Amino acid sequence: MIRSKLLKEHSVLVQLLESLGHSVIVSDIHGLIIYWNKQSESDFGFTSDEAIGKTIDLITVERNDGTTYAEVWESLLQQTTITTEVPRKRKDGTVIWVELRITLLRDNLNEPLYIIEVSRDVTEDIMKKNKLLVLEALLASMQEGVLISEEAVKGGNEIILVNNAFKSLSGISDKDFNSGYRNIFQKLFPEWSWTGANTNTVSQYEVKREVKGTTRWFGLTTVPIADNKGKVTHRMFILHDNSHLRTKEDQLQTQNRELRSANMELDRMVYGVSHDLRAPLNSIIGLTNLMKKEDYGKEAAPYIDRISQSAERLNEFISNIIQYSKNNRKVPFVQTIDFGELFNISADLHRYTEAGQRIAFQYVNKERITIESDKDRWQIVFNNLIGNSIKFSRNIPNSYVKVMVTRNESAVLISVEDNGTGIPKDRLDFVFDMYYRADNIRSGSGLGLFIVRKTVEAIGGEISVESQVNSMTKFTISIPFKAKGTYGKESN
Amino acid sequence: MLAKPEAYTNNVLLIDDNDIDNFINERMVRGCRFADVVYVNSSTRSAIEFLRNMASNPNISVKEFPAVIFLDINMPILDGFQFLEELEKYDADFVNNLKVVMLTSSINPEDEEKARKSRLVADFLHKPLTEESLKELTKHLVA
Repeated sequence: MIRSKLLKEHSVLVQLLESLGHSVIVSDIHGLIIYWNKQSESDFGFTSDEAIGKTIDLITVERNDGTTYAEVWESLLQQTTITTEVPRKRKDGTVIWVELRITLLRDNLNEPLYIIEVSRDVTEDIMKKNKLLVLEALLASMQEGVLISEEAVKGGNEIILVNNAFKSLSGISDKDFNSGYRNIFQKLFPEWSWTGANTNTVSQYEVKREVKGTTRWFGLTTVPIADNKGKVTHRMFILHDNSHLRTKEDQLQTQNRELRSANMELDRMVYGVSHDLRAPLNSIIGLTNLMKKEDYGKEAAPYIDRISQSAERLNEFISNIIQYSKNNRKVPFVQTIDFGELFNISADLHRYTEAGQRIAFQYVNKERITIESDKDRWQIVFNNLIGNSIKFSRNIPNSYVKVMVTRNESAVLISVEDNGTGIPKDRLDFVFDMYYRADNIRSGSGLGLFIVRKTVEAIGGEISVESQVNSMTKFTISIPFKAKGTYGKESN
Repeated sequence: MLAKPEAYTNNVLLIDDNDIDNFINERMVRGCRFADVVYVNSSTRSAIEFLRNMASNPNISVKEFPAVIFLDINMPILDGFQFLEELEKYDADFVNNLKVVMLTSSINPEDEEKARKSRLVADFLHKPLTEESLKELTKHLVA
């Protein structure tokens, strides 16, 4: 009603208000809305008819800062015009931010007549501003130094943002940051070629610097920031202190080098030992070959055969050690292990030696236990343990070496027992250690039980020893039913 | 048995610092009729001297030169590889006809790799020398 009256009386003025890009709301002194322009309809979602006659509460969001309508009214009476930013509620419940100008219109007698609110939706601007605030807080909390510069406009390369981390990492004083980013980087990275920063791709650069007597590594990443037409408008420089990483890396590399050289050393040693062991052995084999060829009669033949067999087996065993050394880290070949077969092969290797002839070889596997494991590795273990039993046997009538396969609730147990010289108590702890030195490599001793232990570990087991001097020695290998990997699994 | 070109002989030179091995190798080479003439040297030094004397003696015919050298690797002073280097430097006709067979107890693959790089090395055998390995070698050298 009032609107139509207004429209009639001030048609030109009202048409102007209707076409304005700002919301214009007029209320009377009772706070009732009497005019609501087109832009108000689109800004707040209420039609003119819905809004007129209501109070401004229609779109008011309760303010957290406790400002009351009365207070606004009070200050309006004094100042006539207030400019502020406030949130407004739309019809669909969403909240927008508006930049608001409230004017009090008085009549001729200076009595308040109308309240005019002119407002503009500034939600997007506010959001941008908030984002920027978050960004700044983020940059301030970062350990990496960040510097953002505006790309050379009119020859300038203005720094528009630099965080504290950048300042403290670079150690460049505050006033130098006024002189443009090129100066900064020339100070920090004098040998840096600028081609990296002039491209339109992310580039990285690293430099080593002595800072207060310690070596530090700085990494610089430059990130071009382009507008929607692809033109680079800004550049972001991220400065990181890589020293920690670099030190770790250096350490790793050194360790790696040492490990590799130790490995090579071991290889050389093993081949050296192997050569020195095999050379006389091959002579024996060569001689027995000749004896067979040159025919020394039927009586000699069985002896020649046995010398030759024993030598061949020893030769094979030496090859096993070499293979063990070389294949230590190779994938094992898993198959069903027949402990009896392993025992016989090892026993045959020693049966014809002088000591071997005095000894009773016993094998006990009542439950016929077998496992799935790496046969070659087991052979190495058997050869070594049975070989030791014979080597350290005493010259007594009932010498024996006994291999037993049993099981307890969690593991298969394989023991090799003898009644030989035994191991003194104070050496028991060390028998599995590798205690040779480079200068007595040629003696070739000290490797056997070390190899046994490493081999047992490789097939997922553990080895222990008990012994009494001049009485007995018993090595026990335990393979848990659930040994790691595929090996050590019980097959039946 | 190895006879091919006129000047070619199958004379053998054994070089090993271990006299037992030289004994084995000589008997095996003769016993298998791999060669009729077998020269033996128990050091690389003496082998070099032996070859040098032969080459400088005009009364010795090419047919008397060794055609196959069985060479050990691990030897004192000048090892098998150093001997090979010396031999390669030695510019004489008989060197071009020479075939060196490495004969060693080493099972280090690096040794074999290194040996195979030499143009003089025809084969790499592991000790001991056997009838079978000599048969294989004959096939290999004639081919």
